[in-house]
Amino acid sequence: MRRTLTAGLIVVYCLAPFYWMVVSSLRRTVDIFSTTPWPSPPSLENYAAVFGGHSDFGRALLNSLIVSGVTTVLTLAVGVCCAYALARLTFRGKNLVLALIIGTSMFPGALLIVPLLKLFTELGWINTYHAMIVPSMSFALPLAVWTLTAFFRQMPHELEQAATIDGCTRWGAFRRVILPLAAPGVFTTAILAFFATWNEFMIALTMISKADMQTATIRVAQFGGASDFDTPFGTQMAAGVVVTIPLVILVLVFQKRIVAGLTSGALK
Amino acid sequence: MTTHTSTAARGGDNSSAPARRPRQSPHRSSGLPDWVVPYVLLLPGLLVIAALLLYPLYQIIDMSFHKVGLAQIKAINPRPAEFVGVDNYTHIFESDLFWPSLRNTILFAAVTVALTLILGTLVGLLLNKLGKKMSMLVIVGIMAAWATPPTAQSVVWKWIFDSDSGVVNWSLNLVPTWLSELVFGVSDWSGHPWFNSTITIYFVFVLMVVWGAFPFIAVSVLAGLKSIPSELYEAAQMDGSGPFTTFRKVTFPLLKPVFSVLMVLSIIWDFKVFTQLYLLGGGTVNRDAFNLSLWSYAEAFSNPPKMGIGAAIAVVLTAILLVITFVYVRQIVKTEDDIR
Repeated sequence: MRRTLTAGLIVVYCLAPFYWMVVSSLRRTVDIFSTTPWPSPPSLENYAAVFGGHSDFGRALLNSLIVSGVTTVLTLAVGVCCAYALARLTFRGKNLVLALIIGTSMFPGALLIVPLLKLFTELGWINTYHAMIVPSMSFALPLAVWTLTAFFRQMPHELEQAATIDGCTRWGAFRRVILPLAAPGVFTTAILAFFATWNEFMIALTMISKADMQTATIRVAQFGGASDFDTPFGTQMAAGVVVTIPLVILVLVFQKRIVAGLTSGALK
Repeated sequence: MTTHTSTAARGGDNSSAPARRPRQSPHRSSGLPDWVVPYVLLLPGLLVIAALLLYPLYQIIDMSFHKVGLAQIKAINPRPAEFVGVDNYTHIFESDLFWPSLRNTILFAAVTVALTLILGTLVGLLLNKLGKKMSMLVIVGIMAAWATPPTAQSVVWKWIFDSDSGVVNWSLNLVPTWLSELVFGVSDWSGHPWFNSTITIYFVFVLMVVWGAFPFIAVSVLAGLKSIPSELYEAAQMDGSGPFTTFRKVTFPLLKPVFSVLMVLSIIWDFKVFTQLYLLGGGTVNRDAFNLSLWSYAEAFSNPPKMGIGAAIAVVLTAILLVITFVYVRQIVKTEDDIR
């Protein structure tokens, strides 16, 4: 009984803000200050405001999808190779590379944006997708290498031995045997990298000034603006729900894999 | 026990047969000699890291010794930056924003990491005790919080704690006046501001970041607990060990690898928090609530931009982070060696 009660309290702590976001998003603009536990009458007014008119949230979602999708694919292509070498091959300088990659995951975003802004200004990259995609790899790549390395380590090393006996080279063993078997781990990593990029804020804030290139996370925050006196809370909540729901669904479906992916070095 | 066997198995593949096996047929298949393969595989990753982390690192250190403004970073014939020596550093160390920002950064990370780990572990232990259906239900509930993107988090918590129409102030007004005055020293919560003073901004900030972070810890700890054989607990119970001793003597040592991974991840995540503070504090308006990231951003993008000073702050923050990471990197790399 006491356990159930505690569990209930925890769920309330976790779901209450979430619930309030959904409820507020479904209120009419005139009812936004109402504190009834459910919207009465419910209305899709806020969602219409998010997608309709000049706000063009659909475009922002598309931008987010493009940036996150491309970053994920690029990161995986590079990360799989790195992680395989680190997890399953012996070579000189391995510790150095490992230390470098773990170390870089600690670099703060503040370190990157000023030099990259300068570089991208020179290159004329401001307000382009690649100005967001390329810097996003700086945090997605260490994350991917971390997850994939743990994953590759779990695979029995007889796999390569067998492949070598069958006449494969090291390279062939990687391409034809290991890679197909690693698909589930690669998939988990893809979700994590997608997540991290979808949530990115600082780079998108700095590199993009044109409204039609902004990503959804930036747009959510800018409905009404940080210092605007009259914040349109309802619209903000509706936009918040729209950027959150896809992620919640992904997490709930793949929850076990995500946890295993991030901690598998230490678990199993 | 699982953890131990797995560590051994991990070690097995690092230095074992395949790598040292004499090359059998270097000419067949893709045609790459075996010893080159690791370097070829690492090359793209190392290039990305060099371009995206080492180049900016060099650039920002260089900038931190120069006076860099708009004229220096514009696209068409930028003016050369004036070398100012350590002026930028003297400026920030003498600034009255330095100590508060440093304190905010470190205290926030320490408090948040500790709270996240403690709450996460407790919830993980609880989930392990609950029935299957019940624990699934709780997991679904808490993971929804974890999945919420930082921007949406900030927008929602800001709305909940809004001074005039937030549901928190509304709820606090329902508390009988005498009780509210006794506990909080405030009788009327209408219009009570949460985002004006540093203390209350950080209160909401910690509450929010812990909210978004602990579910992951809980679920990971649960996964770890599931791997501990129940005989160990039966034995501990027979020996008359209470729940706390059992945790300290059985659970914790077995899950130590899990805890250290979670701790590293939490530290990395919490030290770099920018989005939520930027949004909760209303951009760069509230200078007292700055952490080092936000201060660096505020200087670099002020009007007119003082990128040299922003760079110097970023260098200081990176130095602090590297000292902390160094300990961990060394530990992780050392474990690799031990395994071998």
